[in-house]
Amino acid sequence: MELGRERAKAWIYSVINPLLEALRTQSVFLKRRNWTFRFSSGNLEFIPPLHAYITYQGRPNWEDFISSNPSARERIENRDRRREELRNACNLAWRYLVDLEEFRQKVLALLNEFRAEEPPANHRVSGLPDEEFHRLVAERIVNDIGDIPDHYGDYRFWSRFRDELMQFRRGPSFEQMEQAGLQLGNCNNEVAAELTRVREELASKLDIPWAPYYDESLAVPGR
Amino acid sequence: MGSSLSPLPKSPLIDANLLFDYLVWRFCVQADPPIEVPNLQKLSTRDLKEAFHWYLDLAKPIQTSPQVVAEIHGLAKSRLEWYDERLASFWRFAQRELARLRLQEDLIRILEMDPDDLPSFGPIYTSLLALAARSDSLVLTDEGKPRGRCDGKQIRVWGSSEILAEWQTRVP
Repeated sequence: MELGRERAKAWIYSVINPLLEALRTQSVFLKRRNWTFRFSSGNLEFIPPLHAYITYQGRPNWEDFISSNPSARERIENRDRRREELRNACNLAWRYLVDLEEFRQKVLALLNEFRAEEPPANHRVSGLPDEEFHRLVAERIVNDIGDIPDHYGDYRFWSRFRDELMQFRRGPSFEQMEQAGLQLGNCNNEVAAELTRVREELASKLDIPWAPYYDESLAVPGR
Repeated sequence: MGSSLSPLPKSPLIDANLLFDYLVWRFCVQADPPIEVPNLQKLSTRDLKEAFHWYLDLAKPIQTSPQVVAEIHGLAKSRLEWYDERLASFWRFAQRELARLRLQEDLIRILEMDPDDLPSFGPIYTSLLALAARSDSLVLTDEGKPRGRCDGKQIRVWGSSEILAEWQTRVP
């Protein structure tokens, strides 16, 4: 059966548009090299597999879209594999740091230095015990965090020692992570280009607006 | 020592559509067992929800007007067709969540509302505009007409896209 207007609209509105929006947001994170890695979960919090962006109501449309568009499916699957590679690379880089005795000692020494010079009200730097604080610091390093907003517990510590601690962001595991991040960015661009192409084709062929809109001419008079 | 990030505005005044979407989303994901999140008009994407959650947490105490709270009840019934036990559970959750966000609620009486704003914007936005002018607070709304009025009155206004942009560049 030939693809009709309603089915194409369902693809555009519940699959293609949310994915393009998500990829735009991910590109901001990837350009900052903030992989949104979280040591607590071992996952990339805000760079999930693409199906995670589809709402519950849109899932049947996602399944239909994926099975009907092999070219998009291939790119999406490839992208999700790259995302998994980045996740693994982040875990390895983080593990490398937390296992490094020199790093753990450094964090502890800086924490002691910080507390010696700061008033007691600023001594609490995270919800973690002191002997685990290096796990959070390693996460900040993996995510290449520059400034952090002042409502985070480690704001003062990080602002003061960031440059010193970032010296640990080197070595093969970090190079591998950077490479994986770069490749994910390229794959995201490929997916976005393919989704944009499909949207343009469907919209043009079936005369579909790129987004739903409110048509005033159809409004009920007097309401 | 210091951050090059400018401080984010605190204690925003939130309109009914955004606060409704936020509360519905949080209610659904925190329910045990979780409830599938319905289609939300404003916080429509995963990232918008995360960004809004992040911002409200750091911007608390939040503010609104009693008219907004009443509107949320109406929206739960008209948009989601929530009644009886589902509606009761929603409000039990919403009260706890609003307490966590340290909600401050101030009443602008209908008789005290700006006679120019009220016919154009209705009591909800007229009350928010009055509170914003009084407290010099940021208004959170995605609605075009009130946003224009905020600009005219030199009231700072953000929508979900501004919050998303801040989240993308600030979240560690």
